[in-house]
Amino acid sequence: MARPPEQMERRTFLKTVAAGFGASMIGATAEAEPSSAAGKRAIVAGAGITGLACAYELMQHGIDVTVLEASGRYGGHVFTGHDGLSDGLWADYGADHLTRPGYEQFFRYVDLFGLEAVPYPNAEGSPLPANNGQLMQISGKFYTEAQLADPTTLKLLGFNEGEIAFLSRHPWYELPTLYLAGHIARFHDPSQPFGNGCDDLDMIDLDTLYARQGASKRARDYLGGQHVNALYGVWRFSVMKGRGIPLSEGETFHLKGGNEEMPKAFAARLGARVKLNHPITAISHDAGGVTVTYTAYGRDEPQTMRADYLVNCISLPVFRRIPVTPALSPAKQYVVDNVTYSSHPFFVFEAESKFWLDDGFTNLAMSFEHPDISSIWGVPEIPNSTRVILKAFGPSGLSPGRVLAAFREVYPGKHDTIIQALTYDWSRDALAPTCEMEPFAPGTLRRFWPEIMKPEGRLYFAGTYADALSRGMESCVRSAARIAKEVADA
Amino acid sequence: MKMKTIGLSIAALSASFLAVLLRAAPVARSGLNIDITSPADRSRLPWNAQAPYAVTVSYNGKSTKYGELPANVVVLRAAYVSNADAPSSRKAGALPEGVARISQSNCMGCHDFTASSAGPSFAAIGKRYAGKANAVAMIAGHIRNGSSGAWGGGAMPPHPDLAPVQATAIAQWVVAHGNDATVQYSIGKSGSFRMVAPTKAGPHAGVVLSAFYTGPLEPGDTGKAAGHNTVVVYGSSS
Repeated sequence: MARPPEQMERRTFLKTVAAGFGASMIGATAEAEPSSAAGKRAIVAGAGITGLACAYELMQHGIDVTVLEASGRYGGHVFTGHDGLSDGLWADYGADHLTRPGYEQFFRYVDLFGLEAVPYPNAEGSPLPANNGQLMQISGKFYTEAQLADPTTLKLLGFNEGEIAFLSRHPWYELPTLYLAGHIARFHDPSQPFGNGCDDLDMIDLDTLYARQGASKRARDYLGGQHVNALYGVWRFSVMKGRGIPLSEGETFHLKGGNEEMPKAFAARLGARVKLNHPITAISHDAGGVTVTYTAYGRDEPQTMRADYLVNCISLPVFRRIPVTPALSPAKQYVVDNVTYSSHPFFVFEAESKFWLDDGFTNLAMSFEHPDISSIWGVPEIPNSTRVILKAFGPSGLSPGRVLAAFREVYPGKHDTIIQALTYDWSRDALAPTCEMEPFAPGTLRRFWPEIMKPEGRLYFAGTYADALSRGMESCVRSAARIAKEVADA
Repeated sequence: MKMKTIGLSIAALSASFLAVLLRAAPVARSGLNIDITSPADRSRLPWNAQAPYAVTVSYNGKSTKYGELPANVVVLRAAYVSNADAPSSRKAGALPEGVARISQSNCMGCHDFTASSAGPSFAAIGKRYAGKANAVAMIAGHIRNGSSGAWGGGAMPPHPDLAPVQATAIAQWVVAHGNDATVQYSIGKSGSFRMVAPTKAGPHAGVVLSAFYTGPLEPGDTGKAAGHNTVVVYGSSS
């Protein structure tokens, strides 16, 4: 039996958990009945994509698993909505797309479960495929990619000489390498952000680093990086490079029928192991196991369940409302209380036709400067419908009608055929309000890493944050598979 | 045979008449009732422990138990008291207007009282701005109109649904009391609180839990609640 992680030598532990090397190779290779009754019992808290993937992997390891989910549906922030749409149309209101490369573990499940990934070009502002008719609004004017590579245009926009030379030969999204290539090359082990001669970057933000490297104000406006821990930023680029993920983030896809097909595929295999409307109200743990208190749907009296391990797959802002006895260590409590997440809605427009073709645009993939809408893109056609689904980014809390009005204000064409606008307000979802992990703040990486990857006794933690590269659903399923293996090996 | 038929008919008629009467009778409006069902009154918990609570609210024939009232109409306050035996400790002061507004808006989707979420905690905002001139007006403006750049990469969305007076009430509470560690709030019919003591607690010290209803009231109602809406939990050293 392998030693528990807390007893392993630190560097060995980090290598085991790092970036998913090895971990991502386990599972998803063959779908089989549990190979052996390991005699272990595990409770998975939360039936979002992380919890379902983790429970599936635990089941594959022969572990007796139960998933307790507080809401009446599984999938969490992976949510495909049909309500309000005709012709069987649907829209993903949560997780939007997959990338290739970058979603290797996820695509193993796609293949294993016989799902179909459909190309979804320019998804959520993706620059791929290149020169596909995308338009970017700058100071009120729209630019094509070719125009954005023109030295005269670049000079007018305020880039410096080095940036103009670079951007006339490279797409804009590669600009970070102009300033950070030397830093990125110093990192070799995805589990080790420290000790690469860049530790001082933990104290500054990425924008400050770009400024130090000579970036113009215009470049810094494009690159962002304010409030982003510079060491985390550079290390993240290095992990992406190590995994072969380009700065374009790769080609984009979604699942035929909607991304919720993946949670559905896991849930179908888990069957009655998934208990919906079973919120956990308290967790107690000791050297021998974990006792979870929960309420079953329609029952007032609390019930308890005992297991050898608990894997928390609830997002941390929701998890921390659940009392844990004895309390978590101060180091783990810091992680639980301080991981920050993004939370934003997608606004979904249904149109009767591809109206932008009439206006001479080959594609509807545009970014805007309007405060109520920052970008719009099209979703691949859905069979048996001539209607079109568009998705837009706008601030949380706005009504879909207001975001549509903003689109009509900035759209450079003459007319549109949009007939309704919808959204799902995640900020009012008490159980799945958060999306992806936000980058760590300056001065905090040492407090998060590697604590964020560690178990606390019999309590394990999986989720988008629990991977060396927090990046959409892939980091969810990677951390899920890693933890399932750690529990199996413990 | 005939008599029996008539008898049955009369019985059926009476039943249907009663049903009509019942349907026609005005529904008596029931007052506000708030019950803290867990933890038990006068129970004991270790200092610093995090513990679950459960509250049931019913009003006007509707209950949180059946989802007729949404969970976010319930706010639980957990306040440290040095002498939990003193009768005055059970006298719950009014819920600050700002906290009531927080429970009814979507603030909690991105903020928490003492920990980071998509946005900074109310405690962190209170700590930064306590005692600073114009802070309330500035934060009220951020709530209404949105803001970005003050706390990281995320943006605060606008809240045009909140009236200026409501946004000001939220900002006033956050600035003045957001960072008060001895009074905690939790929103929802279930959740958790911590047994927090500011200093070394004496043998009679504890935490008073008070539950409040923040939903709409019928005209003429004051919000005064019946029920077991205040509970004392004594702190223990282990």
